[in-house]
Amino acid sequence: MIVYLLLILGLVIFLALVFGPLESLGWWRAKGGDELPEAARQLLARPASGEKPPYEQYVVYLSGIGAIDPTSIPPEELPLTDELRKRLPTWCIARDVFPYSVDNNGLTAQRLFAGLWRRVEKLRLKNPESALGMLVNARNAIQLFVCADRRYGPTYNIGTAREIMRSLQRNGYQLGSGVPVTLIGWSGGAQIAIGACGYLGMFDIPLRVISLGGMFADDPGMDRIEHLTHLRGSNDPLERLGWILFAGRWPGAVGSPWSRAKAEGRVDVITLGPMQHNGKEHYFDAEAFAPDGRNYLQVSIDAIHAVLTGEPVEVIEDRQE
Amino acid sequence: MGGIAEFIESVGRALWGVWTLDAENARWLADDPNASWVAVTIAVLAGASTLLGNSVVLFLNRVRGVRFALSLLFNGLGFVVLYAVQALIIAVVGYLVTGQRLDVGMSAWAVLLATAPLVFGFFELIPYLGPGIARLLQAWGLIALWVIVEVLYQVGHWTALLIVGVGWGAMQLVSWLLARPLASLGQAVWRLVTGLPTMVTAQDLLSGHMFTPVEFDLGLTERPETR
Repeated sequence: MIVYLLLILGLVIFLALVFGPLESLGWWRAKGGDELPEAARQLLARPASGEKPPYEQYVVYLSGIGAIDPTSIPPEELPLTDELRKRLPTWCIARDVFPYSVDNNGLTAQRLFAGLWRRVEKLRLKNPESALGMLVNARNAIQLFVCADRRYGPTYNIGTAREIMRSLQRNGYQLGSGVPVTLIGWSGGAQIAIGACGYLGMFDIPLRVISLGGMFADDPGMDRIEHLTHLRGSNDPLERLGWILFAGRWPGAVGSPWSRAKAEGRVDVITLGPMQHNGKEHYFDAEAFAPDGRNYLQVSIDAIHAVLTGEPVEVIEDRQE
Repeated sequence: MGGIAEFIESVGRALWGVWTLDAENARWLADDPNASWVAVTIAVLAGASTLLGNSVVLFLNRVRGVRFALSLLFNGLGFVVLYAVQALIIAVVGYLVTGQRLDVGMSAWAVLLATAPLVFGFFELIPYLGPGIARLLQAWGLIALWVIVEVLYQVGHWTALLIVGVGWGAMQLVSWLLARPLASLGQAVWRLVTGLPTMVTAQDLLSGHMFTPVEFDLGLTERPETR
């Protein structure tokens, strides 16, 4: 009986993995392949307007794999962008891009399983630790691997790059203005950010990426990034898994985009403190406190703010040393 | 009816034997009157499984109808040429190492049988991990070929390893020597068949991975200057 259950579970996981890329490939086949190359060519051919954008700098926040749609991200993440908006009032802090869909189509929007996702969303609102809520994480984690895949990634990344570009333009960004854009990617959002940079970099935008506990591959998009700051927790098993799972980030991976970026001094890896990925004492935990009195959420916000403004990052000192 | 059941049983037993690297099984199969058909069936299953992944990408990449069928045919022919070259190399290297003249048909049998791990080729569809799984399957196939060559030439482990190792090295050399002409040929045929530009390399052709789902790259293949 147990063997059959395991076989069924294995089959379900396999099918979920195999069907994972179909959304972005299907979108590319249906319309993306027609619309995007032309739109990209038009944008590339358009002369710079010479106008200054209304904001000093632009930041786009890409949520972790718990996000359901552009407006429904886990509530614990909201204070990060809210606080950044307070501290940087002349900057645009956007969080309207759903990173796990090529066309910003949230899980509860027009989809085959929208009903299921709406139910999961309701359950998760009642109980954030609901086991069914993990379905969202599993679905989005598969999209992370689609994004990181060299075969499926191009179609996925061009879609998310377009949605990020749309978000920037909705907020008045002017191509050719040279105004810097920073993508903040939490967890799987870091991979989506780096992947999208491969295409965003075509438009002469100064790009930076801040990864918070990010799981990301040695994506070719790294070649288009001016600087990547990877903020990690020393007790974060998923972040650590990223170093193991993605071979291009192994120490001997000569010639990988990651190794190249490191060799060129375009990568900073900063250990914030003993943060975990989920559960308790995670990056957004307002109940866990550092010895200096700040809670972990504040530590994360301070660190991201410091990276954005070019100040030194204040980390939690390791008492065991 | 009984004949078909027996044949299916032989294919199943051969598959299991290759997967488990069982030399006894290879000995049994070498004496089976249906050995050639069993090997061909396994190779067809392996090819179909590998094609499954590639063809989904191909279909979704807006290659349809006659072009789709032609692309599959092109890929299938690619497999046949690949295995024929590999069989020839094993026969030549085997002769040079052992002095035994091996029928090219037997060499082809060994190569086709060793494709049994590629029956799991559909796993290549899995995002990110797929290409790694494909490499593992190829390595598994190479080890299977080692076991089969050992039985076929009736030589020890190390001599068989030498034949397979030199054969593998020769395939790499062929790949290096024919890299440019093969890539040009592959791209020309691909363009003819699909009407799309391609990023197929000679290595892709030689490893049986013919398709890359990219219709355009907007210059992304060129590494930009880092600001």
